[in-house]
Amino acid sequence: MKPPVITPEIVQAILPFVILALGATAITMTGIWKSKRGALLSLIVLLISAWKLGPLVEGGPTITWAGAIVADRLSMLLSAVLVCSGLLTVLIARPVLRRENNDRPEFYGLLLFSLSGMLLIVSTTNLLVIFLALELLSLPLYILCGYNREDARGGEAALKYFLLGSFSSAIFLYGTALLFGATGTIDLAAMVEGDRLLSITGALLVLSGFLFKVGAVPFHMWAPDVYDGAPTPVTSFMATSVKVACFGVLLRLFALAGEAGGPFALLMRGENMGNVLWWIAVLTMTVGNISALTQSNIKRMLAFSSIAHAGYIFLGLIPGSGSVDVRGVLYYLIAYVFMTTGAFAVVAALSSRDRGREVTGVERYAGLGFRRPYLGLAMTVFMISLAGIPPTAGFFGKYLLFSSALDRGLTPLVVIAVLNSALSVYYYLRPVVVFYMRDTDRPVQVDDSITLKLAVFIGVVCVLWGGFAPDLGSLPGVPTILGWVEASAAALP
Amino acid sequence: MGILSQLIFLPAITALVLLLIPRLPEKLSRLITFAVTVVVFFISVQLLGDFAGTGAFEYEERASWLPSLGISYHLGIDGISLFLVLMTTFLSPLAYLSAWKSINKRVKEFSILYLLLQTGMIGAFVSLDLFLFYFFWELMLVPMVFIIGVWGGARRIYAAMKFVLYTIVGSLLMLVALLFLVRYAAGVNGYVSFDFEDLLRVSIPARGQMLLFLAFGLAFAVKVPLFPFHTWLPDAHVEAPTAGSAILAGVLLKLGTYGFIRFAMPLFPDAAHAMAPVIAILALIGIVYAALVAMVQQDIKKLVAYSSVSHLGYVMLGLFVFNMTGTVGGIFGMVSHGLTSAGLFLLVGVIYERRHTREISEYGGIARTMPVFATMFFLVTLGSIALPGTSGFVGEFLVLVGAFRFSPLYATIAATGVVFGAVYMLWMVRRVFFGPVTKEANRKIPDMNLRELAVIIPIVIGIIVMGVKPAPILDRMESAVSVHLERMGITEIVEAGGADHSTVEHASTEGD
Repeated sequence: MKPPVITPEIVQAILPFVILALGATAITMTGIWKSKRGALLSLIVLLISAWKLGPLVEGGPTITWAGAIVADRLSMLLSAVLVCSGLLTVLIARPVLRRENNDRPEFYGLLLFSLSGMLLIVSTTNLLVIFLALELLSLPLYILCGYNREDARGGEAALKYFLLGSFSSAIFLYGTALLFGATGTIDLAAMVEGDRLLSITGALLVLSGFLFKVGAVPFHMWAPDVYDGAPTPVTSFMATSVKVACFGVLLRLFALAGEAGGPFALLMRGENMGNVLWWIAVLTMTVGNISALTQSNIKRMLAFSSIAHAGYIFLGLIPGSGSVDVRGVLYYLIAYVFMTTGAFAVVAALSSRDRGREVTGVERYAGLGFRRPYLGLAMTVFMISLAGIPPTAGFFGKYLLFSSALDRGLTPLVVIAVLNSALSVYYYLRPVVVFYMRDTDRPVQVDDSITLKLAVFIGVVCVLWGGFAPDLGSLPGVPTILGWVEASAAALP
Repeated sequence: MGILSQLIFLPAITALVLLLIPRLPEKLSRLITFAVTVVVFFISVQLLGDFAGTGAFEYEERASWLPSLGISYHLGIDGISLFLVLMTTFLSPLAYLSAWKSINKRVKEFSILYLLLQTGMIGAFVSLDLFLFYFFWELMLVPMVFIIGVWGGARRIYAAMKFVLYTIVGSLLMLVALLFLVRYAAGVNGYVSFDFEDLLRVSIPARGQMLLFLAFGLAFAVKVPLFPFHTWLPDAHVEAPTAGSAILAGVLLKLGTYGFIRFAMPLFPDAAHAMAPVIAILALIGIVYAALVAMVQQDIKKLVAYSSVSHLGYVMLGLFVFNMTGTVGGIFGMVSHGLTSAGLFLLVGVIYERRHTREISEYGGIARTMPVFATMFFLVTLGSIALPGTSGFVGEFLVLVGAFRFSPLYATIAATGVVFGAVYMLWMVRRVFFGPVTKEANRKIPDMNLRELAVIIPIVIGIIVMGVKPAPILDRMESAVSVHLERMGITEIVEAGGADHSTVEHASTEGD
């Protein structure tokens, strides 16, 4: 077999990833002389990566390289979203780490390593590369969860995440092995139906690995503790980027399976075991929402809410009578990144540490809405968006997912999802209620750093942009979110 | 920009401007908001000028919004929505004026929400694209929740949450039904469109119609509120600040009934016919039950709140008897109830500001200390109990006539509601205003001031003018209603309606 040639196009396509990986290495090195410029350096690296990514998002041919790298518009859009999420995370992390006297370049190095893993995972169809990327994105996260050494809960979170995460990686790898045994290939695009039992088992195990990462029921048990224990910027990063990356893979996986058949198509058609995905969607959103109802700690609440959102996204992955709803899932992921990161930015601005423990009870926010009008407004926008009320990106995301699910004949599922989002309004409005409708004589300290404000501002602008004008096609020069999403969706079969 | 767009955007832009100016003096934000609501009213009056009343949509505006999803910015009004829009723009400055003194904390925020609420209400009344309608429908929700939850009474948070949860369950199911409808229509029409007129052309199989009607109907029934979905209403009304209650009762409830007549009924005519007995019976239960409950209330505001449930029952009954008289009466009743209920809430606010209690037993004999107030209250009460010569009479009389043609039994039951209505309102008036002054605090309550009179006098004039001279309004409604009835598969000669309002006018003059 001839070794595949490295063309300039391939270099261009993997350049954003390479920049991130090299940047991560360099930034980690600066830790030797205790540099305080980790945030700045990582912002520069991310911006360069985004700059290289920009033209690829707007267009460009699909490039595949030895089945290991697939650079199409889908992977580029997902990469762009991931880089955005990374940028926002750095903006949130810097003031929080400064405040806690913990601003070390290693944090940003690890963050970029994880991000480079995410960029890799969304641009491949090779199960082994996926595994490699999965480890590359997970290992830094395990460390980041326990980044704050004084916080015992952070340590607990890290250990828990590490143990369960390695377990799920092992299961994923086992599934890969079975699939290889059944089909004789590890390239998803080339997989055909092999031995039935082996195929189904392998596909289920591979799927379980991802279900774990996105926190889908019944693999969600780790999520609340880990999200709660990790430092807020890390939580925000995990809740958004990891989901984008893993749903990106699932999207590709199911879209390919829908087209070419293979082991995952067996799973999707659900001849043997009923529709597994259907039940995962229902359970994930319902369990997420019901558990979120009673949370008074806002980080736990957002953790459960992120589980619920994973459930809504699964709506787009169920083919029903049609095919996978790439457009809806992509749009939802973008909306989800901005609204959730925004909410976490507000949480980060308002949290403080009490003897190492991060304090994030909702009750502390009493009366803040009027003392800090813009912060209050931003939080209201994020919560309304998460609840799926117009005029926000969250509403349009749900709208696209639900309407295409109806097209594919999934009416009962949509009704369940809608009742779930009605339920979610109750807990999303609670922070808003506390912000505006309660008062306190012990005002909480607000972090006023400019980068946090910037992160919140970007979040609000994107959420409202996605809500009012996801489709501003008639104005020249204004990019359209829907346009991007549709072009990327077209990249898949 | 067309008139309708001006009505929608003027408040919204003002709200944005207010938001962006930090540390605005309270007085200035009050003045700006009030001025804008007044300007909006005067702009809306222009609608009457060129209104032809042909039954087709007028003042139409179309612009593309989200073309790839089949969503457009399509506005227009007909005889059904015209007066509801006017009522909204008429009540908005008055209710805001009533809050001049009582809303004294966070005035700017209140004004912003109030203006957004106005945008949502007007937008919902004039949207002819169902997605746009849904957009405005939800847009109203958020400001109202805040107005109740921030400026409301002791149990405001509970009331606000109850309001939002009731509303959202209904409206989300409506969204699903809407998506389903659009999908079906796209299959028939060959293109995706949320436009009301495009959807109207599609006839849907009976079973599907029923489910869709129920989903739409639930959203609207919660808003109306139709018995048994009314339980959020007393809480929300009692806890909301005066201006909020007035807008809630005056305008927001009408969006429920408007939703039925504009969207749910014409889009799903067969289902509407099939469900008519059920809805009519629920409306009758609401009329009688709410009147009985109102009778035993100790709290004036709660009493007025229950009276709304009862009066909206008439409107629903009128809409679902499927004849010209009943439907016109129902729509007229919406406008009339907008004035009377807002008037009553604003008046209750007046004494609440002075005595900080709404218990009926805390008052008594205040007609002596507050003669002007008592007069105004009595006039609005007369409108509410449908005395001939007031707007309430025209609406309820037409509904009863229409119901009688549909089923004499229904009309008889509904008529008992009129009697009960008179009982609870007049009984309350007697206990509050007449008899000896028992409480020391009531001896020196100052009477209404000029600002309060400026709020209430236009409403009283409206009630009387609409009662004495309903013909210009009824005329403008008729052709739109006959188009509506045609869509429902009923052809009725307009003369019948014409005959009816001569009856009304005859009765009105006698009443004078």
